[in-house]
Amino acid sequence: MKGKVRRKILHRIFIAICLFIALAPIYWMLNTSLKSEAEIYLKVPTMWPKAPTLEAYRYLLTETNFLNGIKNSLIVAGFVSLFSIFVAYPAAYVLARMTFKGKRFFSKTVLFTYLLPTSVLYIPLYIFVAKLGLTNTIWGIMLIYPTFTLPYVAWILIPHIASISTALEEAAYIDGCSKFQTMYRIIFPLALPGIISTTIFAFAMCWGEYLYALVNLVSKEVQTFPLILSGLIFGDMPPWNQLMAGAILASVPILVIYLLASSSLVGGATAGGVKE
Amino acid sequence: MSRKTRQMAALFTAAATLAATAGTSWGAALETTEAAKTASGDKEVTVWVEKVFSDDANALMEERLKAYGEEKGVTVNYEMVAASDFITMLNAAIEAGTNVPDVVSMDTTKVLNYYPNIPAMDVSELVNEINTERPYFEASYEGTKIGGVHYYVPYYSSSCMMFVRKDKLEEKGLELPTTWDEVFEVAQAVSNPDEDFYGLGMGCGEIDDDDENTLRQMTWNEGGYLLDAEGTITCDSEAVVNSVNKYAELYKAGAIPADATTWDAGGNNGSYLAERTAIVFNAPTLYNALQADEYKELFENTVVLAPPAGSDNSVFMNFNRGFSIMNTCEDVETASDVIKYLCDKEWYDSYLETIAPVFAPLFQDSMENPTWTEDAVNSEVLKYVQNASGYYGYPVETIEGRAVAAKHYFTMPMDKAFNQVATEVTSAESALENMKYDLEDFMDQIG
Amino acid sequence: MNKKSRRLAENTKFAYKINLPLIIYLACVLAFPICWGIYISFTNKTIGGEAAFVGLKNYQRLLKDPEYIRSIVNTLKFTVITIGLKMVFGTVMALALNVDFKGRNLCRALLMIPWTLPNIVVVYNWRWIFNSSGGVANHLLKSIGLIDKDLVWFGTAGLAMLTIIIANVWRGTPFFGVSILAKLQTISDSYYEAAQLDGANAFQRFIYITLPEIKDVIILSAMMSTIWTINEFETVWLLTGGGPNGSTEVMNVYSYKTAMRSMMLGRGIAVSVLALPIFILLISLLTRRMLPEEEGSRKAKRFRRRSV
Repeated sequence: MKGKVRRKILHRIFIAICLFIALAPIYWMLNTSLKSEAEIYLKVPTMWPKAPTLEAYRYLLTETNFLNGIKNSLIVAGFVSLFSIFVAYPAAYVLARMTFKGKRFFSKTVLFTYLLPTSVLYIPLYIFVAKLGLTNTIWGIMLIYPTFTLPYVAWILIPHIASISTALEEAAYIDGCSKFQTMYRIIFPLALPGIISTTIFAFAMCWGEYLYALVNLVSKEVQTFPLILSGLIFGDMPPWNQLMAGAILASVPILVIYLLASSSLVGGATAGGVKE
Repeated sequence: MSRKTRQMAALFTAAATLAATAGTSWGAALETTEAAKTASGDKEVTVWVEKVFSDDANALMEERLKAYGEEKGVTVNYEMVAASDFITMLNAAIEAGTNVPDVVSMDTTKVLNYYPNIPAMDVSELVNEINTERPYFEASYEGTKIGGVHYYVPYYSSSCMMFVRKDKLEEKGLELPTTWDEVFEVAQAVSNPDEDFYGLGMGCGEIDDDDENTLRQMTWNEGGYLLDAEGTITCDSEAVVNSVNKYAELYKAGAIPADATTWDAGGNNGSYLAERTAIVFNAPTLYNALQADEYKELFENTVVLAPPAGSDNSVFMNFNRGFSIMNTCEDVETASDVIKYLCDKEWYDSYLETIAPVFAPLFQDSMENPTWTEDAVNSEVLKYVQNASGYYGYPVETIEGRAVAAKHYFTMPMDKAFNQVATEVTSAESALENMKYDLEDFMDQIG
Repeated sequence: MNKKSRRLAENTKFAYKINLPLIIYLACVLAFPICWGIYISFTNKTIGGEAAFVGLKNYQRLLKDPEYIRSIVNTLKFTVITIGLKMVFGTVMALALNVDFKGRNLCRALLMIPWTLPNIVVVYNWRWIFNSSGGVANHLLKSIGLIDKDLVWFGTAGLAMLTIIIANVWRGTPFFGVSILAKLQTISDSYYEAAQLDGANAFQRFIYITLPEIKDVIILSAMMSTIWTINEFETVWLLTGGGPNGSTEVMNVYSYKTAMRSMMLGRGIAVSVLALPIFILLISLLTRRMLPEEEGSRKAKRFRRRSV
């Protein structure tokens, strides 16, 4: 049993290292967000502020549209990620499970949306939104965000679905289920862990998006929070403490969502499925 | 089919619930705009103002625009936009052709960058109207013309002042420098690289637009021009080569910080605040930064002066800014009215007071305004503005030449060339040869 | 044969019907932008200006431009290194998180944060950390005695590349980690138990059970990440601006400078269009690799292989 204990300790140390690497820069953000402007520019940086202050947070929450921006971002990211799952899950399903005419072409087309970078597409997409009269509304960006989430969702779900035993579908078919019912009633729940993690990532993709939001959302009331934060920067010296405070606050919703969803990620997909 | 309807139903319910939650705030905003619109008749104007560094000033501007709307019964849609986002947003709007604002913040370089598709209207008439009531400084009036025409109404100007650590100079018994040669001498004398202290905080990082301007000014003060008056490319002339080599010399001698080649626009003032440099060139925002409690000592040791003269001339770079009316504006009368409203003497003076000394007024009557004549720094800044007749491509006079210079500016070419020579990547001659090639490319494009 | 072709026809009908929303969406929203982009690359369009067709002029100029060639090389370097690192770190991270331990959910959530923070703020943070004057990176390195003079991170070619690699890998690893983890969790414990009973050690279990299972997710994530990395702009632009002297100027930064700074929209887009063949190649490889064969028997073969 000694080997087991040693392995356990090594494992814990490794996790600790991972956490350190992931969180150290974030610690620095937190550190900066609690400092006064002058302390930030000191020649020798301090690991913990000499005179910690919540001034940056106070300013951000009371004198800018930050909270409203967070609300807008939540709406956009929530809607788009859910929409993406509903629209792209069928694509992943048919690509993983079925053979049909034009399958290769279909699969490639879904990914063609990534051919041109957002820094090129933002102009024609803006023109498109303008033609629909949706500029300066969150509906406008909700309309174009799926362009970068859909391909991702569709493709990432393929291996998750492919790994579910086909025996289930065959059994369902014998039982008389239609393809549609099989897709949603049987496979969807089993693929749930993958679906949930994918949804969260799609959410995160929308959460921090900047360029499309920038050109489409002009008024403060409809802006998402990255725009509010970049709006704090004028001139050559950005207000570091406010920016970092915004970043810290903005990571809270994501953390919460992830923690809540985590519980359903535990457990294997084949549990209660087919006896092997 | 039931499956499709089910999917649709699910989507609709989701959308509806979200819309309901979203509805509250921006639905309300929409309502008020609707109400305001019907109340004020049909006049509407959209104004995009570039934010300045002072929250108070931005708030004042907002209030003024709101006041206009209330007083004249016009709907004013105003947005205060951050500088870094401004061009991206404006370009997208111009490309789409819809939602282009009526009145925007503008400056010479921005206008020229669009040449030959300048999206701003000729507002010379409006400028003359204002000028008759409130005369501009000559440098400001003439210096903002492009091809003999005004594309924006000049409103205020920034400046680039020389900040000097007078204590360091006093230590070595040196006089305050008034020419570039003196600046170089002084810089070398007070440098102490081992203690991480350098005389000259002039950078050449890839995205350092601050020093891009300073390097240009320094070069043309010594007779080195990128283009001559007719528009011939002269960036490979001896004078320019000398300037580039002089900088590289100072860099190698340790009079300029080693990391100056990586600075962004905040690098030079950052180095001054960190007490690493003795002389920097910056907008008066640095002066404001120095007034914080933590910099009390540094503030007392600082003197703010106009930039030095060169052996050839002492022309300063102009940083005039103002308001344009875009080509797509339908109600030019209202748009002009808004701009005139912003030039009203009483309000204008109080607005400029809040942003002094970072921005200076352009009207001659400021010479009688004690705010500007009695404060040491403000008067230096006003002096700067009165002598600021330089521009990108100085001294070229053709509009094509100016457009080429403006577009070229955005590639930060001086930064690039000085950088390459200082870090010994290439010789001055060949760096400037490359610059010539780039300028020729822009000329190709324009003409 | 009849039954098979009937099944095929049924499947085809179903596949397209069920994906109607997706197809409609893509046709409406993306067809115009992509066609617009490709068309503009053949013109001399500037912002706000008319687009005059100039044929291949943009492309010719690009291929002769040493700055463009350099941007391609930089992009290759940057992409290969970061993808490699992300794959390795992501796999390791997933493996570590697959073990059940107290506080696992919290750790998982915390390790996801780098990917979920808005990029602009994260990049500003890095810029600050690597700042040569007052930056904490130099401070730390000096404190442990590795260096005695401040490193000029953004001014030294190798170091600048290192900073964008660090920023990209730090941000992108959770993507790999969580995707792989989700797949790992579907591997039934019974496989490992059976293997252990057969005498396989940890390493063998990894090679013969885990790796085949997650191979597809790794490759898929890698290809997707490659597309994103090649198209990466914000991070590099805000961190190094392409410097020093263009040593970190990746393709998209060059494209942006051309289109937005110099207002040469046509040429800027041409840069991205030139990269299309590579993307099309990647996408083709991806589809070939990832999709089960047209014959249904391949799926059955994989299933059988798994349960061995």
